[in-house]
Amino acid sequence: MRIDRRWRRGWPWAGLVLFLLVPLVQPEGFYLDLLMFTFMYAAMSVGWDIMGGYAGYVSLGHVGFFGLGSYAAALLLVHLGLPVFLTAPLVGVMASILGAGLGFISLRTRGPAFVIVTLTFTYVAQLLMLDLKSVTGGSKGLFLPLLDLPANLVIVPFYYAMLALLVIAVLVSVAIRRSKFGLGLIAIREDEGKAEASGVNTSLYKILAFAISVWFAGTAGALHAQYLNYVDPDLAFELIITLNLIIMSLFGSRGIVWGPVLGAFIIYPLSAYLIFLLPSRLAGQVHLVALGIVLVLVVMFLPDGLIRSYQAWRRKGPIDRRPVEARASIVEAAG
Amino acid sequence: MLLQLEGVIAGYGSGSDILRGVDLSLDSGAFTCLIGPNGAGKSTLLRTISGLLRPRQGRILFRGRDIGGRRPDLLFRDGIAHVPQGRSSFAQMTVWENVLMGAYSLADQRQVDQGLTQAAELFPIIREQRHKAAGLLSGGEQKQVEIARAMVRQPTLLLLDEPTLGLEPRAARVVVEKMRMLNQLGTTLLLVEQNARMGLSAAKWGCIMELGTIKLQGMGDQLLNDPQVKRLYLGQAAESA
Repeated sequence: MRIDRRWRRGWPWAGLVLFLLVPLVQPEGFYLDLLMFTFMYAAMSVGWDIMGGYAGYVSLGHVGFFGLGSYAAALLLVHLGLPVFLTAPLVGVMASILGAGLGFISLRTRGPAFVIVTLTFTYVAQLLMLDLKSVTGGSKGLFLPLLDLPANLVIVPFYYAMLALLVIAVLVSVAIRRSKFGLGLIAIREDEGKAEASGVNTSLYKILAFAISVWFAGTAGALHAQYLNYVDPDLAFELIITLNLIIMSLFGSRGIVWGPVLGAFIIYPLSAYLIFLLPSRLAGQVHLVALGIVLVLVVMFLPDGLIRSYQAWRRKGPIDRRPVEARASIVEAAG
Repeated sequence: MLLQLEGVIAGYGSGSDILRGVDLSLDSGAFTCLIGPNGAGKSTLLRTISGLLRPRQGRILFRGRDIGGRRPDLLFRDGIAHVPQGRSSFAQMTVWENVLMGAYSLADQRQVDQGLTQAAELFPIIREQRHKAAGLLSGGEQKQVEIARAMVRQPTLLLLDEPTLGLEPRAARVVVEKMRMLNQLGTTLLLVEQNARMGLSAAKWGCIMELGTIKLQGMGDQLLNDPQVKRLYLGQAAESA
């Protein structure tokens, strides 16, 4: 039991050390790229889960913040010459402020209004970037100056940046889960009326959770723009990115810190492999269909996600025997 | 006098009056049980006291101050806790988290710790099953968790709306026993009970409600042995007692 617990505490750190060492062995190539994107999706999915898993409010707008983060970072670099690695966290803060504003409008009510507003927000943001041609270059997009690095090392800083983002995401998620704030968010998910009656400031908490949640999308978007050295409205606002975050979170288990991480570490490599294996003519479409199928299968057969299902499966034995004994002791106590 | 109601009239929305002039007083440390037929206004009375419903007329004095229409969260802070009918725990949260929710509006950590310790002494189940999802507990256990949650605040007045509803007799007896213990420790209890016999024998004082007023009141065991009460509310012919 004690070894079990120590192992559970230890493996994230072991994984972190391992990932820190990878670029020393293999500073370029497919696998580093794959890991980098896995970290990015995992970090954003953990962020999504703070809102979608803890508070239970599904956002379809995270790619909107990702895309605006890409544009903000690109514009700061092109016009003011500020390097993305410095501005990325601040771009994230801008995303959070915007998120708080959007939340202020859509989160004062309960229920599905939020879902619709966030989806609409994605499209509005995309149209805005498309139409503000004088600033954003419209559909031609923006080119970012290349990083001054040898070609075989160019992925390394992004790799570490995304890994750092993931570490921050997990630490923030753990801290929230253990805090009174996190307890309030979960109470909102369980029963918003009851949460309010217990003294939770539901509107404020939802807005705050959403602001924290989109920080990761904004920051990742900023880094991603520099990684591609290019932004355009189609790439930056691909709705599939939001869907990926949701599927990863659901697949791993919503509302559990490691759920989205596990989901991302399974789903992203699989879909990358699928794209890699298929002829490029088909890859785009087949990959989308596959993602759709995964979503349907998860909802139908694994609605609680991997971690929760595993926990339930492990508990099953002892739980089936427990109630009888427990009841017996109550009866004795009652006399 | 801890709580005093004078001619309280209340109802829902624009509907007719449910409470039609309730006069009731509770001394500090009292254990009073309200019984009466369905629709008499028992739950409505509790809701009016805990602030969920604003009285249309009359006065509700808590420690000498008129609290009619005061917000329920403020009344909770003042020391009136209400455990509503049915299941009201957060099913997917653990037992311990459920209990913590009872302390959510408390800023003073020392008070929280004190309340948690006391609640755990009275309801050992909240420590024993602390990591279990509340929804997985039996009905009687869930009721204990709900009462424990209300007790973290260490309220002076605890309103309980049919806490034994739907429980098997032994689980119901556990809940009743817990209520007695709470009362002995100084909490004033106002209990609504469908099972009149059990309620009246547990409580010190009984009130019979009918059609929105208190029709009769007296010592619990006195009411239990009153032939008219027996006939009308205990479902028993007077002779066969």
